[in-house]
Amino acid sequence: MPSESTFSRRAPGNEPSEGPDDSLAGPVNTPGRWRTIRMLTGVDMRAMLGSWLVRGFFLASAALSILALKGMQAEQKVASQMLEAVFATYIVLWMHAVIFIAGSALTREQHCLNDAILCRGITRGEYLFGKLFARCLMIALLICAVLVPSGFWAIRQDQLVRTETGQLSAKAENTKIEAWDPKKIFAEIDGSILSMDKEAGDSVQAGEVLALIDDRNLFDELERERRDEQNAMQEVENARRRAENARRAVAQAEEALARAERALLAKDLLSKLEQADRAADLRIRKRDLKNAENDYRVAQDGVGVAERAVETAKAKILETRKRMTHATVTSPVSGYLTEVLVRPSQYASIGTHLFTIAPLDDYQLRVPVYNFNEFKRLKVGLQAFITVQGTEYEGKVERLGAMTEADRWGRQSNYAIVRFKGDGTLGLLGLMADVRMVLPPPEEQKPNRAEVLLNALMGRSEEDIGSRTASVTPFWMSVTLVKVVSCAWMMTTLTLMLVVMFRNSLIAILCAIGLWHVSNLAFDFAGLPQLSYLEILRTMGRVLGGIVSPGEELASIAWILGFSAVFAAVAAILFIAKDPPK
Amino acid sequence: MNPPAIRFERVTKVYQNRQVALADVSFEVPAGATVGLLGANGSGKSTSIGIALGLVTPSAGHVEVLGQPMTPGAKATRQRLGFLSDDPSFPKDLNAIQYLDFVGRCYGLPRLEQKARMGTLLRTVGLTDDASRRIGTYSTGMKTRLGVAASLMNHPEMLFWDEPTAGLDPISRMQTLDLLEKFRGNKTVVLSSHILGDIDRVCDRLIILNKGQLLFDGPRAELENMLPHRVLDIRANGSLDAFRADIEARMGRKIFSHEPGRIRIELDSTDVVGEVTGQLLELARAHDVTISGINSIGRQLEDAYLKLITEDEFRGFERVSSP
Repeated sequence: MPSESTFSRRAPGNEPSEGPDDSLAGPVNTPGRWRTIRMLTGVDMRAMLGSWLVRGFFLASAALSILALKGMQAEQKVASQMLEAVFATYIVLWMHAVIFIAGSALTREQHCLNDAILCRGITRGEYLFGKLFARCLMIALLICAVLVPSGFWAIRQDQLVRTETGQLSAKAENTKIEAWDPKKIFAEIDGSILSMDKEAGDSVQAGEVLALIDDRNLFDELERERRDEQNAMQEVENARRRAENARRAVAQAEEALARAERALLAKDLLSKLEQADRAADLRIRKRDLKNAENDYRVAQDGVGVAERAVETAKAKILETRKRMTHATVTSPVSGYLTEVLVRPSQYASIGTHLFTIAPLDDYQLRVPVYNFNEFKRLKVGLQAFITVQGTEYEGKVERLGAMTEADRWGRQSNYAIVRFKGDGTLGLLGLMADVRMVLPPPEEQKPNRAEVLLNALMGRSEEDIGSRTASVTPFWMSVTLVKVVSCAWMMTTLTLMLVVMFRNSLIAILCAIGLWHVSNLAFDFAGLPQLSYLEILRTMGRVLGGIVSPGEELASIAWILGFSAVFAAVAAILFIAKDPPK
Repeated sequence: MNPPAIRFERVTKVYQNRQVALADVSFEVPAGATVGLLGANGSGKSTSIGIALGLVTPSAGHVEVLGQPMTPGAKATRQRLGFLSDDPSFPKDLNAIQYLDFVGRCYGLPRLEQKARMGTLLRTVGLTDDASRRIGTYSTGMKTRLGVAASLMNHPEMLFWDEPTAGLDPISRMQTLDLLEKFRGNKTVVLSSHILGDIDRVCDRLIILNKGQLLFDGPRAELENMLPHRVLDIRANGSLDAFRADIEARMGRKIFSHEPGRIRIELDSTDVVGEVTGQLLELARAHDVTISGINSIGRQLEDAYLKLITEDEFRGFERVSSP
């Protein structure tokens, strides 16, 4: 090892130290082709990460995508519409940035290509493939870093709010889960609470005993009523006997009246006095009969009264017996005891509120709706999605509160009561939940002239736009993403080929941009219209909606990747064949 | 017998059918020699080095380096070479450590050896203190020194150094030449420079190119033997064209420098400097030329080089028939 630097300042005339090759001499292992390409790829990717062109592309595309997605979320667009807009922006706008990134592959180091790179035991092919891999990989990473999260976010939004006709709507966060229709338990007999072992918050099953009320008074009362019943039944017997006697008295009176009438039949044979006596006797008999009949009726009425007294007594016994069953207080439903208002040994009279029970599986949320336009579209029975700490439940709008209320911050809002089933989950009550209600779509606005023109240029019809209400699945989102990345790779390899061909980045970039736009016509003429980016944009909604043939889509992607491979091969051949710049 | 380190066999390079950089050049460089590559700007020196490194593909001819044919894909052969460009360019965003690390990885050096080698070379070229600075902020001399370090990173068997002392201060230049002297006999060195003093000091063999043609290939002593015994260097003012013509016509002397205000003539070993000087003064009076100084100097590489170049300028179509 040299003790002093050979090039370090020393007085002229001093002996130079030993040369560097006298130390650390050793064999050099020639790295393999793929190792070299991997190394060059890594170096170029690190260089790109430090480039403000790449950083700017990523930051700007990510920011614009996020803004676009949030804007469309506010406009209640469905996932396919959101993703179509973002993916289309990448194809129409950001593909130019991809071309610039690819075009700058050789620019910055063309002047040091010989000095710094190719003279170091690296072949031209290794160098170019390192560049190709680095650019393609970096561009794919940059695009996927934005579009993959965007895609899943949009799909998630869609899953939260989509119904056949509905769209995303009012959203409320941190709404407290309350019990739906809580059951209040009242005392139905008077008495002291004998036993009770439940506390507020305990879960109870339907039919479970909540408390026992002292029912000894009811036993006494029942005994009295049984005696009253016995007496009433005895009275019925007496009344019936009296009625029988009265009936017999009527019969005797009728018989006496008949004899009196017979005695008066031969009146011509009787004296006037006898006739008068017998006529008087007849009137007396008639009066006796009438009295006997009245007594009979009275006796019969007495029987009815006595029988009613028996019925009354029986009813009282039944009533008492029934009240005795209320001495055991049971839970009518499964749920939670939210209120316990009595303590053991406390006296509870009839109608005293004893407990409140929240049904176990039936909840409600009071969702404030601040936006009046959204509230106008709300209807009873609309679908709602309730998210409790990541778990999602489905419910319905049950009631609408049309009178504004102020929340704790003083904001006025109407509200909707959303009811949902907890699927038997314990512990939901009192938790905070996020609620999204699905509103019917707003009335479609007529597209403005610019939209009509754009749709005409893109070849989109009303049916196409309508078809985009189909759900987006991760598979079809991935297919579309692969298509976008394939287009980016095609532009990367094309631009690199042009850079190698012209050895001038500006010309290559301008040519690539021109070819990109002209390719719409070129592919049409070549009989491959599905590869033109206008066609890709036109069918993107259908692809996202999954209403196209997977085979055709994969064939399109294969064509695009095939073109990329051809461009890459031509670039490599040209780069290897042509001497680098002098 | 060892094969030559470099063998150029009738090599021609024409750039894009516009510029002839080399025309039918053949030469050999023995292994272990320190060869000076001389020539004016555009004479084909850099092209020759580029071809020898496999960076430039010859339009015609055959090139062998270290016994192997040199092509753009001759990766293994290039791993054994070191190169310093005349205008070294580096990735400006990297610092010296990152750049040498990249160079070491290109050569496939083991990690530990690479670090140790890097440290040694940075210390050797005096860039240890500036190793963490961006290369873009380096001066020309520092870039040259970094290029020297990079060219030695892989323990090369052969070095191609193009203007290694350009932009260096006198002390750094001397140290670079010291380093080259240390390589003498151990490595084959091809040194391209315009500074003939540097070539004179370190090279034992010369290759001279002019406008893409080989003028000389051989040991330095052979070139010097082509020179006259002595040279009279005359500085004069006045109408020199007629004066020059008279010197050649009347005195029969060969003039091999046509610099303004300067005339150089050859002297044989039998010439007496005083007699020749007297004849010159008489001719000067006849032509009304004022002689401000006459120096008698011995053999110099610069003179030999100038003589060769000057003679080549006047050869014209003789080149076609020359071997």
